[in-house]
Amino acid sequence: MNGSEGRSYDGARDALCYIKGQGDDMVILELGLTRSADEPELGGILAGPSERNAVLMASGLSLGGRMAFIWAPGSPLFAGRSYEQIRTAVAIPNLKVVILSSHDWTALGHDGAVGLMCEDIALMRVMPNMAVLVPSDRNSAFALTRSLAGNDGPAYVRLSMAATGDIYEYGDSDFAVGGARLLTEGDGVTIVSCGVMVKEALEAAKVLSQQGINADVIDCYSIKPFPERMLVASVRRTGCCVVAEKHASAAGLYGAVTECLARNYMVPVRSVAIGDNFATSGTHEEIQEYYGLTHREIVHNVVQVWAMRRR
Amino acid sequence: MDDARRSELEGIALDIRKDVVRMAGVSKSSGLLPALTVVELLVYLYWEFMRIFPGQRNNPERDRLVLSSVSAAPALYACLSSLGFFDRDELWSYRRLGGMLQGYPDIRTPGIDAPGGTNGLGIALGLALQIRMAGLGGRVFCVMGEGEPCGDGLWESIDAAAVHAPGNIFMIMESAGEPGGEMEAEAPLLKRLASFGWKADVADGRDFASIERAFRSIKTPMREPAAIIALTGGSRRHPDAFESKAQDRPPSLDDVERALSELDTKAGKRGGAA
Repeated sequence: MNGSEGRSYDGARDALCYIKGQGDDMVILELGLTRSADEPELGGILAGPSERNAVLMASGLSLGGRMAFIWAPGSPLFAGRSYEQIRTAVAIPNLKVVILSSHDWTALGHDGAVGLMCEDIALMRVMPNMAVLVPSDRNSAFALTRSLAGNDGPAYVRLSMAATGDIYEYGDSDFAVGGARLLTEGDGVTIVSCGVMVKEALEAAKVLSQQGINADVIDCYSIKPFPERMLVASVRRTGCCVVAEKHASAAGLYGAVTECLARNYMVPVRSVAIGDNFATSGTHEEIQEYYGLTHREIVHNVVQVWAMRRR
Repeated sequence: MDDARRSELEGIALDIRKDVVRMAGVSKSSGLLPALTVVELLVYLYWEFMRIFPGQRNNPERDRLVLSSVSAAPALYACLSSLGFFDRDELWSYRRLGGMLQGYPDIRTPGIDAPGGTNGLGIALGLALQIRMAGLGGRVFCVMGEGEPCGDGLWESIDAAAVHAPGNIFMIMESAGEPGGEMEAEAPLLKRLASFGWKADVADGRDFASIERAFRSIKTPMREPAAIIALTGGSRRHPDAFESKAQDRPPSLDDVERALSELDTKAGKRGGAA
């Protein structure tokens, strides 16, 4: 597994194998025509290449009494292609269906705008009943996916193929739907991030501490339900906030954060994200640089927002 | 099916049709009338073919019905209330704020096995697979409206059902064709279904004996998924009292009365001929 350390993709896959071994009240639907020959078998039902049909089948399996996990490697467009089916057949009846969309958009960067979806968190977040989770590394992906076996409704999990390294210890199980983790504590700025940007946020915090700004770094892996109390408590101390996500800047984590702050405690906020753009083709690293999804960009935004912080 | 049972089912179908017309009258919407075409199919399934337990709505041994047809909900609701799943008065608040009966079938309603409003065949396939994996004997019936073969990913699910072939899945496709007609619409559909690995047949969706012949020719567990194309005559079967109305004008109480007596007269004629 060279170069794949810490991928949330692997953590979620391991968790599915683990849950499957615990009993037969769950079922895995594998999207695709064939299974990958390189990985141990998940032992799920091969659902075929259609996202829409996979969602409908998951709905039926769940209506029959089993929790259905849709394993959708290679389908970054999942949320868009099957939006209506997710809405009508899963979210409205509030069924136990978990969608694991296993690439965030830059992992398939070569595909460019058409093959890369950076609006999926937004689409899933506005859907009533749907939980939206974006784990940041292999260990948190494992624990979160495992915890979903006890979830009462539908969930969308956005995984990544990018090797982020371990952020959490192996075996750390302190993750739950609606939760978040405070990774570093400080009183200068709140940096909220999710998925692969958590690693960048931690890097940024190191740089900032050398400049005398101590950051609260929050891994906001549960975008919905949103961990409101942790964020509000943090910005009350720091008075400013930067949000970092690998997503369009509208309606994703930045949307969740600003909605929460508008309701509770207004502070200046900046977004480090893809902006209002469709992505271009390129490698994972090139795209990170091109769109400024880097710790340097986070530092840059923190400096601006810190100057305007609420005191 | 003997003549006595047949006229009994026809009597039930008449009652259901009249309730659908009353629902259209109460809700002031002639848009509910397309539900009339599916009545005989639903009556046959619920009163003759399916195993149901109205007193135990979650009985695991029950057969399930997935209503994919978006226009058929009023007929399904009228059937379920007649079977005792819920009070008949609920029909009169169909689609009303605070009423139990939602525009599209909602699984919180007693007797509703699956959400409606989207391609139901995929849902039916998941249900059928789960029933088989759980070692239960239930069968799953998916009722499709007329336009559905043309849209919304149905053929993806038709393909998947043939691949997984759970052995307990039936699709009933309404077609507006006339029994004894030229089969213009049905012949290509039969061919397409066969090419996808389905066993498909045509029945007169207005005639209980014909519907029964089609269903009895299928023995479960089947090797292939089974489809019945039911010719239901389409909108030609709406009561004239409503037909003369412009689409945008709501039916009056008088229209409803005339439509009800028209249904009675037609049923009487048919009864006399039998």
